[in-house]
Amino acid sequence: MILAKSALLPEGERRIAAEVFVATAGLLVLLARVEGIRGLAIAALGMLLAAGFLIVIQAPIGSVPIGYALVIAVAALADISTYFVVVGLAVLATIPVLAMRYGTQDTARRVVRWVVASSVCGGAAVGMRWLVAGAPSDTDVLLLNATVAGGVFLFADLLLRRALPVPTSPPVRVSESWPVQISLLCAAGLLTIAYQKGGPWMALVALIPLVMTRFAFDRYAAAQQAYRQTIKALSIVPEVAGVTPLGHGERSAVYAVALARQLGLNSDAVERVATAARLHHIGYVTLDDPDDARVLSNRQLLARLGGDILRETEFLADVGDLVENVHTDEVTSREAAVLRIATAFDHLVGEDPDRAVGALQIITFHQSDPYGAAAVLALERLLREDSEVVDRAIASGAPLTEAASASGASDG
Amino acid sequence: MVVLRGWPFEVACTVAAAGVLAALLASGAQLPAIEPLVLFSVTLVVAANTEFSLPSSAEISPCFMAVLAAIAAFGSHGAVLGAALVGLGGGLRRSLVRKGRYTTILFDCSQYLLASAFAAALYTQLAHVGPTAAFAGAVAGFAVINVVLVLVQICLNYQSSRAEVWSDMYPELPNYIAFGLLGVFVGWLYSSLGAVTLPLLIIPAFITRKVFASFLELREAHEATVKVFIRAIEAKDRYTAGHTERVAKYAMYVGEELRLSAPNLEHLRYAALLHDVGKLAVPRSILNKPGRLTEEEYAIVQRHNQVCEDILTRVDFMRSMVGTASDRHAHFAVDEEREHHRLVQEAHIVAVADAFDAMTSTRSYRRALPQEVAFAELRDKAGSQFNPECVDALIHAIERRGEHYGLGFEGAVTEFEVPPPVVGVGSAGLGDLIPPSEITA
Repeated sequence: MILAKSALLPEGERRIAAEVFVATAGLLVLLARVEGIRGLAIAALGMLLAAGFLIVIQAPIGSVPIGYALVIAVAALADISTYFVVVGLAVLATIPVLAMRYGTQDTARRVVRWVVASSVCGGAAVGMRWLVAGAPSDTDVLLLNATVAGGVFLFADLLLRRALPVPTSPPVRVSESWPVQISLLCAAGLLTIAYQKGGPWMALVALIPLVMTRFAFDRYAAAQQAYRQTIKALSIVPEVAGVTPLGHGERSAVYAVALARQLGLNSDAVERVATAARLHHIGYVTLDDPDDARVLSNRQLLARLGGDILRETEFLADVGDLVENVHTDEVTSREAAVLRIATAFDHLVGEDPDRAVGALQIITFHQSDPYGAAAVLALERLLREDSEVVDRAIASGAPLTEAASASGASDG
Repeated sequence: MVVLRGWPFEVACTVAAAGVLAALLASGAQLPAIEPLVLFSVTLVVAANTEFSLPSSAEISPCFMAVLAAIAAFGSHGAVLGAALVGLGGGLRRSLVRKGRYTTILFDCSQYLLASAFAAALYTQLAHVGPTAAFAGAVAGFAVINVVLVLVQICLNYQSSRAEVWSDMYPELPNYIAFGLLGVFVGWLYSSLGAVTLPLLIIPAFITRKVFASFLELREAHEATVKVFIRAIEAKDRYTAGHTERVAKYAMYVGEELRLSAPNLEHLRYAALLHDVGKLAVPRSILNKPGRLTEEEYAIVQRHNQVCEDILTRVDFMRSMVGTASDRHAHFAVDEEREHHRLVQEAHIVAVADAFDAMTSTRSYRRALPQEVAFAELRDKAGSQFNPECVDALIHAIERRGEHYGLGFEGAVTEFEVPPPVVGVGSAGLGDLIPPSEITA
């Protein structure tokens, strides 16, 4: 599927296609307005909404389409039949692109989410018109309708994200999702009154703040991605030098993230344990002679050296503390326990998924503190509920081993 | 209370502002409607306490946006007096109150009042010419008063030279236009759609600002992390101090020449800064060895080279299955071809930058080569060892800047225990990684 997309539309052409798509929709809007053709106006709005569904904000809860603001505005402004026709057209138009972008299963989940949330939103808009007295064109009434319908839509979307999670998406937390939801709600309100008072062009102008919000979230997501890549790059040094098996950091990070989520740790803690898992052998880089067998066999010393170098940067001080305690017998926090269990589990399983059951038994036997015991229970639950976690971990380390065997670096 | 040396100037500005306000009131200038006056005054005070971080790390307070929004919203109904009254809140900043800098608070309030009133006067005078002229006039008027007064105040308070302060200020000038445009937009929406638009605009603006702040903090964390490891590399190989920073600089030259986008340039910079991370896997005794390496030693260093290559091309390419933040990864996956092209290009750029610095720096096994020799060597190997596009871009960028590197132009010359020999260009390209058998004396 991925190859098919790349082959069909290279990047430059994709951009042109998107521009043509939006321009056509704009022309249709104009034509419909000048000629007063209702069917054309609905088709154009459907196309614009489809574009809105495909332009996403990279939020902490996953990608959130800016088209949500448009859905809410249409719900507040249009009659219910028009609303459903427009949303239906938009969803149908996005399906081929979504299928190429995310694969069939993901597409099905997204479509179900949009259809259900839009239906609930349409219902809420109808209910509000019935409940609230006053002309539907009053600014205050419109804004109230848009707020309620929008709140219902966004809440339904959150619930559906939990019920139908996309495999690569993080868990949904209201504490992390509200900034995007509020921005969308404000944008929808602005869009609604802008359209009502100034027509389609004013509505387009009213989208500018949302575009800026999207830009900010995108920059943040890109910076986060770049930071993770640097951490990965650093984590590979001890692995290529042969201190620890290739891919160990990456695999441990997968287990650490999954375990931390099982234990309900917040996203900052999840990020910390993932970084610590990748960098728990980093103390090696401070050695004068990286082949000094005496130092290499002293795991506690390496962990302490790792903690020291990470604490040199204020931002990684917490990670440094975790790394320093990765081999201590008794841990004093859930994060430390997650790190210890995740790294130990990967040491035992490595690249052979058949070892998982035996590894779990060995780890269970060795836990002496309550945090460790809780983390082991979480691991047991994880292996039961998410049977693919071991395969996912092994797959995440595989490109490294492949790269190393291709280059001969693993000989080191 | 803190009083700095520029206090007489600050007091003079305050008196001037009071005079302007009194004159406006005495001349019977029209007062705008109360609701927008209060709303925009509150917005300005909030804006004054909200420094807005920009992607370029610059920080600017969005006060000007609030002033222009007020001017655009008032229109012809009392814009000058209204803008002066709104501008009065520009100096009310918590940070100044906490520091007890009351004369500065008075000065800031005054300079905002003067700048806002002047901008509004120009805006109303130019309104009949057209909205663009009115907007341009208001932006220019505000910028001139604001910049001149602040420049003089800083020079007096901190004994800085005008050129020094100006060089800090002038990169911010385009922001006046950006914030001014936004201000006009907000004012226009306000007058078209009503007061309800303000919270609908301000709340997302705060969220956007917070996300930008997080972005800058993350970037700072990234920078700090990379620096720690660069220090670790340089602690190990003291003869290549400054190498990574220089390679990053040359890589940026090439990236800019090839017109890479801002995010791609940033990624390239980190890749260049980390290109030598594999040295951490090499014993210090080999890295600091005077003279040539043995075949065995060379094999060890070669491993480091391999690590770097893996990091720059394969590891970046490896998409995380962890997905701790978003399903961006899935989105990335479909762009494999484009990503692959970008990363390969990145590796090509870093290779050229690395080779150029290796040739133009003195190493333990040979003295630095003159820049012309390094350029000739890069050109010679373009197409075989180096990407010709990257070679041309680097040479063009350095020549355009009129910069010189290499023998006679080295920034920091390292003292070696054993003076490095002068050798030919054979070490070009791979720098210290070239097999001894290939180094031609």
